[in-house]
Amino acid sequence: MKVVDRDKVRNELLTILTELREDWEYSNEITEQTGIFSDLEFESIDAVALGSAVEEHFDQSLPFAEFLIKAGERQVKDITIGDLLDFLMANLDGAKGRPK
Amino acid sequence: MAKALLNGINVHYQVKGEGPDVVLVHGITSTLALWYTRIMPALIQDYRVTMYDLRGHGYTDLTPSGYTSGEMAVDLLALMDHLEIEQARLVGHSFGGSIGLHLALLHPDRVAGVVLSDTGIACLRRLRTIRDWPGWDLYRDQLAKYGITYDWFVEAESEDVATVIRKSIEIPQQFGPRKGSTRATPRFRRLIEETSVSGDFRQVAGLTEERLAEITTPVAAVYGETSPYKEMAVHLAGIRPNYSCEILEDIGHFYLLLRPDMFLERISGFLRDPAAYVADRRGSEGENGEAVRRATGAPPAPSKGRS
Repeated sequence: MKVVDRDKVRNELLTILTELREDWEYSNEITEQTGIFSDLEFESIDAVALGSAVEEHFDQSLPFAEFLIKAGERQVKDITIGDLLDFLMANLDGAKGRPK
Repeated sequence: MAKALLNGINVHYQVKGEGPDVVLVHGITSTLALWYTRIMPALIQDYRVTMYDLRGHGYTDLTPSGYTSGEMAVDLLALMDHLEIEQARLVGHSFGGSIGLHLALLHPDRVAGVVLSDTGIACLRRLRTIRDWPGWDLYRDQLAKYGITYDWFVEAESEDVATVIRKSIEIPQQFGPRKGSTRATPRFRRLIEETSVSGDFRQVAGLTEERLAEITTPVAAVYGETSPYKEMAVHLAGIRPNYSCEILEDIGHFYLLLRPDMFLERISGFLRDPAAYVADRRGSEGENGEAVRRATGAPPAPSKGRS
């Protein structure tokens, strides 16, 4: 089983993000605290498209709709890059820390 | 991200699940994200579900024109051809329902049934009940901050609906993950400023009242009691065969976002067998307006404050 680590997934996630947004205007550094809605000015459809892009990149189906629902239920103000990484580390095949 | 080149534009779509085909059609200024978290995951247990971004919306290409229900029905047909969907149940929210009706009119063999989720139909515009909209009372102060009053709205809307839309998008989001933030995103502004959408969606475009009556495809309408379009749903019961209608109490145009589980419950029987469902409802409740059934759909919102 291939093993992936958080730093590698973070780098790949940032690449996916920049490829997704053709009209990218965000010039600050993206950290794990960066919010996709408040900082990156995502709309709901961008979050959905990100989910598809991540699934395609990692060639794996992921419970992304469930992830968005849970974020809504927690009434969090935003979804951060760190939240996305937590989600990916918990669900990607071969990711360190993935529950058996 | 899946895209297909159809009628000269790249159309963004998603397909999930297995079973009879269901196609979800969002309304003007929305996207397929409307369905993504609640509706799609539930329906893919029993159906192959396709959802897509309309022309000019989301990740589908924007064009200067082509936004009438007839033109959008041609886009939908092209997507169904591309995905080899012979026949589908169509679920349309708001303007998406008009697109579904238009496709049922033009190609009845391709449409097994249409769900109208609070669809305002252009040829029935006279039946809108804007003055009765509870929001005028509930949101009066908030709307006034953005220069929107009832009198201004009625006058401006009849002259220049684009101005009304421009003003209304200054009001912060009411639902979803971006609640409280602006609706005036660059994508939204491009749609309003660079296309004919604000005039096109109000065009009858051939979907006249007479033609509506000719559509034999089963239709299930689910409307909110406080929606400006409720009377259209009641009126349709008088002119259309194969039609059933439910009015959800104390809830408005966007009940789909507030109470997705209730919506799914209301349409499940219809989606299983549209013709049988409508025939059964007609048989048990009589003709015309008697087919309108009220359903309790009270959200925990202060909609009782209506005077």
